[in-house]
Parts: sequence; C-alpha cells; structure tokens
Amino acid sequence: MLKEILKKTLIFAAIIILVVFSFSLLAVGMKPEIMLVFEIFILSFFVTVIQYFVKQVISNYFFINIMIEYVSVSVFVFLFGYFVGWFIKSNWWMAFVYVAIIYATAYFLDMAVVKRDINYINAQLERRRNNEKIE
Amino acid sequence: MEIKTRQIKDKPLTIIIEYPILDTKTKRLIKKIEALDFVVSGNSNGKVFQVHISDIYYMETVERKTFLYTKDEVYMTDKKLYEFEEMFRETGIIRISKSCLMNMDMLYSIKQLMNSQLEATLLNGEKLIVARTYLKSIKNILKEDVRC
Repeated sequence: MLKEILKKTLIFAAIIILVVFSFSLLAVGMKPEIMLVFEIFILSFFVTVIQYFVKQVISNYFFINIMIEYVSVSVFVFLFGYFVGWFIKSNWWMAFVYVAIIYATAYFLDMAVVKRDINYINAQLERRRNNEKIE
Repeated sequence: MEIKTRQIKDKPLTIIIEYPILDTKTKRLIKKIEALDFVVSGNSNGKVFQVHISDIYYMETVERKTFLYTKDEVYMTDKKLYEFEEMFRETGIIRISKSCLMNMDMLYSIKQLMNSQLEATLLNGEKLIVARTYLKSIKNILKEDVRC
C-alpha cells in the first residue's frame, strides 16, 4: 500500500511540475531553469525506454542484468548530458557517479522487496503443505 | 464450498460442479480439474508417451527443443513453451524465466542466492533459476489461493 501511495505521489508531483513549468514556458519563454525541467523529463523517458528494452533482451543473471542496464543508462546520460551542456570535458565522469548512486539505492531497495516477497511465498507454501496434511 | 463424493460402480469418474456464479475461483477450479486429465505427448528414447500435465514438474527449452520433466523422467515434445504457457495459464503452470515454465503445485520453496539470483526448489529436490521479473506472478498465484 505504501509503495502504491509513493508511486502515485511521485506521478502526481511530476504532473504538477510539468503543468506549472509549461505555463511558465508560455508566460516567460524558455529560461534555463525551465529547460532543465524539460530535459530531465526527456532524459527520464529515454532511460525508461532503455530499461524496458534491456529487460526484454537479457538473462536470468540479476547482477549481469543490472551491470548491463547501468552501463547502458550511464552512457545515455553521459551523451544526453554532454549534448544539453550538463557536463563538460573535465567532469564527464559525473554521469557515471550519479547513475551509480541511483542504481545502488535501487539495488538495495529491490533486495529488501525481494526478500519480503520470498518470505511471503515460503510462508504460503508452508501453509498449503500443512492444509494438505490436515485434509 | 461443499464437497460430496459417492461411489457408482461401472461408471467413469464424473465430476459435477455446481456454482451460483461462474467467477474466477470457479473457473480456476474447473481448469485445475481439466489439467488433471490433460495429457501431452512426449518422446523418450524414441518412444512416445502420454504425460499427464499434473505429473509435470517443469518444462524447459534447451537449444530450441522443449523438454517436460516429471518426478524422474524427461520427455521431449514438439510443442513450444509459449504454447504450453497459453494452454495452461489458469492451471498453476507459470513462466519463471525465458526458457522455463514451472508447475506451482511442485514448488517447495524459494531462496535468494549470494549472487542475487533466485532459486526455486521443487518437491523432488530439483533446483530452478527464477527470474526476478516473474517472482510477482508466483506471489500473485499464492495470494489468489489465500483468497479462495
């Protein structure tokens, strides 16, 4: 339930930001801070597309999957950031650091969720076996 | 749910299901019973066998060939994995990776390995790798069982 609430909160916040900055764009034109917001949305869209396609292609090995995904996303963030002027020649490695921090957080969150799901599954299997014994 | 059984000699096994509405629970029950009687042709050492779907522990594709695994036998079949997935969607046979379907009735436990992979142990002790993407579908089937 908390996950669902958080998800809806983030979607709602994203819609608010998009609407507010769209109005700002119409009112005052393309200022750097307005452009940054739209760039983040474009980046998020393409990163989601990359993640979707990487998941379709790769295998059961979670660690390999996450490394392939990390490298693909980092390269994209680096190219996108370089193109829109977020990174310059001396700090190009920042893209890989930003993405690594996000992926490390996501990895540990995922571990916790999977552990909870496994505990639930094993408890239900145990309950099912006990019911069969009673019958 | 009320279960009544009676023996009638010289008649084939007959199951009658009476329901007030044909809901998901009833449909799943019907599919489960149908699966008990469903047979698949499998090939082992050049001989063709009829394998009951309820005896299958898991199905796997190896080098474009599909294999059916029972408690102690392995059979090869002409059908593709996705065909089995569509046929037996409601019967507890679910996809656990790109190349494997597992019979939920044969699942003993699941654990996470040191390398973050997920491993399912079946009732006969065999171990299968479960892709994280499909963990939710295992959980959902068990959730539905609780609701029933």
